[in-house]
Amino acid sequence: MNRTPAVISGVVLVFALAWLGVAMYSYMTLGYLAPVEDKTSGSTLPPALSGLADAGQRVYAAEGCAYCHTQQVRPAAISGDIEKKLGSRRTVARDFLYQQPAAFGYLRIGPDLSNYGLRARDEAEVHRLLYQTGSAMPSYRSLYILRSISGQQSAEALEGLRGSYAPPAGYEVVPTPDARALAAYLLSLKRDYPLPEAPLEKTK
Amino acid sequence: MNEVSPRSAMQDGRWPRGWTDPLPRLLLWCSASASTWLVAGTVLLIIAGVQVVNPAFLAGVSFLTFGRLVPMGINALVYGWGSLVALAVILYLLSRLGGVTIASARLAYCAIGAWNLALLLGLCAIAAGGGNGLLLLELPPFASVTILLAYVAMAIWGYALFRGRRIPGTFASSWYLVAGMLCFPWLVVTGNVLLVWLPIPGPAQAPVAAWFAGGMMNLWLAPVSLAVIFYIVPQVLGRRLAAYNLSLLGFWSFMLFAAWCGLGRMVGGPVPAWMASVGFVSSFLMIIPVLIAGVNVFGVLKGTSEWTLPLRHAAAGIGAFAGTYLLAAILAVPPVAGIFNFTDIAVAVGLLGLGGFVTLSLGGLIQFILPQFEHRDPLAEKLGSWHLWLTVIGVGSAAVCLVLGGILQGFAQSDPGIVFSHSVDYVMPFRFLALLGFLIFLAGAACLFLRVHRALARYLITPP
Repeated sequence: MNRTPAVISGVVLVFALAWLGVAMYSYMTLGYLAPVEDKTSGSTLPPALSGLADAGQRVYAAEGCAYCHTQQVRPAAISGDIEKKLGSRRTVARDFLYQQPAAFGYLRIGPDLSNYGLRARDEAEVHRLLYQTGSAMPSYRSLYILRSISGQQSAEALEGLRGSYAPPAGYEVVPTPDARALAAYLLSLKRDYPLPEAPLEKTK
Repeated sequence: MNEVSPRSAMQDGRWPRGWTDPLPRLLLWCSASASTWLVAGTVLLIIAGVQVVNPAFLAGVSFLTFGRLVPMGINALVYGWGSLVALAVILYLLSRLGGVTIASARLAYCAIGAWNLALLLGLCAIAAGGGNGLLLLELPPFASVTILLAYVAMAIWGYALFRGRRIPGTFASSWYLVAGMLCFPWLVVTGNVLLVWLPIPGPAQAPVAAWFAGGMMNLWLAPVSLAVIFYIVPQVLGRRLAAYNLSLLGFWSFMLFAAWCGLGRMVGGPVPAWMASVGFVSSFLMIIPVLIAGVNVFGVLKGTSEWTLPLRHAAAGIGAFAGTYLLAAILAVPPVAGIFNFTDIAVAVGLLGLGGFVTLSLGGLIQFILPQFEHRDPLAEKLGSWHLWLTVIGVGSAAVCLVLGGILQGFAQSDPGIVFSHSVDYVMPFRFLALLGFLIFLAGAACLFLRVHRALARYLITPP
């Protein structure tokens, strides 16, 4: 270890091994995953994102949703995620096929969103959740516009806002394009179909 | 290029008083900007923490929402505080361990300036909604390119110092420094190219992102922090570390497992099964280098009565090092990860690592060199000692609260009978207490900030 090359070449070797194993292996194998054919509908799985949902995942990334919300349902063998009905199967790499960046998430300060689209009732509910402060989630009021009603109330105006969030008389709250895109993305999160590497699992 | 310093530290065991050596000043300037980032990053994270406890706090201010504050705070701490000090520490320690110094630090000062400016603008970009949700990769390309170029400008000197060393042989400390120096650019280029500049398809991103975020700690900040500990302890005590071969084993086992253990966060996640297994095994085997480092350092510390401030820093730093990696090892065990991987326990691991291990070790070296700028200033010594104790108490209490809260949170979130909002109610008291710990940590950071800036002001007003 007294010679320079021993330390340097050793470290380079150790790092290169991990680099090849993680970065290059992921790129060469997972990077080439393709959608699989869905026999029942004739389309492919996972379903492609709509244009609006595709824009929405960029809002999801920029607002840092992934720091509080995971999109990972883990296998029943090691976790209670499936028993807890977060999803009907584990999340696998292919689920992120149309995600850019992949929002796999780091913490569950908020609930897992892998299948939020299956739980949410409608778009209005998503907007209400984003606009009003919930039990732990801050308000994303900056994604909405409070404006005076000119003529007729907009069809997009948020309904059923509570307390201080309710607009004063003669005003309405409407989503910005960013908010609409984010809601479309959140509603697109439905992983209720099996994939070859992840068949649907039964709950106990 | 490599002048021999007039009186090498290793020859007479004292700091050279000669002002021909630009490195202490470089470290002082670096510490000044880095301690500012430490305070700024902690403030940002505390605001984010208040929002977790009370979501209505600053509601509606787009650039101060949780999802933007967290990346801003973490980037400020990692790129502003940890990395900036680490760079100066690499140059300073390689010079001291090699008995050489650099002729001019002009390039290094330009690099620090560019680094600070790039980071500031990068954080503004995140605040403006330019983040991408990938931990430690949120900085926009202009900022990460500038940071890389600034790194190269500094690392050239680091390599020159290492190659041109006059003291024969290498020390445990210099292995870790060289390792950190090699891994940082490789990691940053890989992470940014594959995930930000020319992003690879989504399915391949999760393992690379987890490995990158872990690597910034395990392969960059952790080796440099260990180098500081392995430098301070023998230097203060005038004794060698325990067995050379043991240090060698410690170093190579550390590098081998640290290179993979970022994957330990992906146990059960959307990655191939072998990656999750390697992540778990390497995270678990990190216990080996932790034990070796502990035996090595406490073997030397045992029975000593010279508890100077830097030595206390080193001892606390090695304790936090052990705490970080032991907790991370437990968290990566598959059945444990299944329950606790996404809970506040993961936050505790990050806090112990960045706030405890890195801050205490690097802060130890800063406090080691500051006295030469201060001319026996009693207030400065008090500030230094407050920094140490407030950091230890703050990080310790916050970590305990986060772990206890995380245990409740993990069980509540795996119980099908408990709805999610109730699991939030259970952890709230613990999060509130952890926030108090963060405030204590902030007070400690402010003490370091004051001490460094007082020394800098004194140096600027009355240069020796």
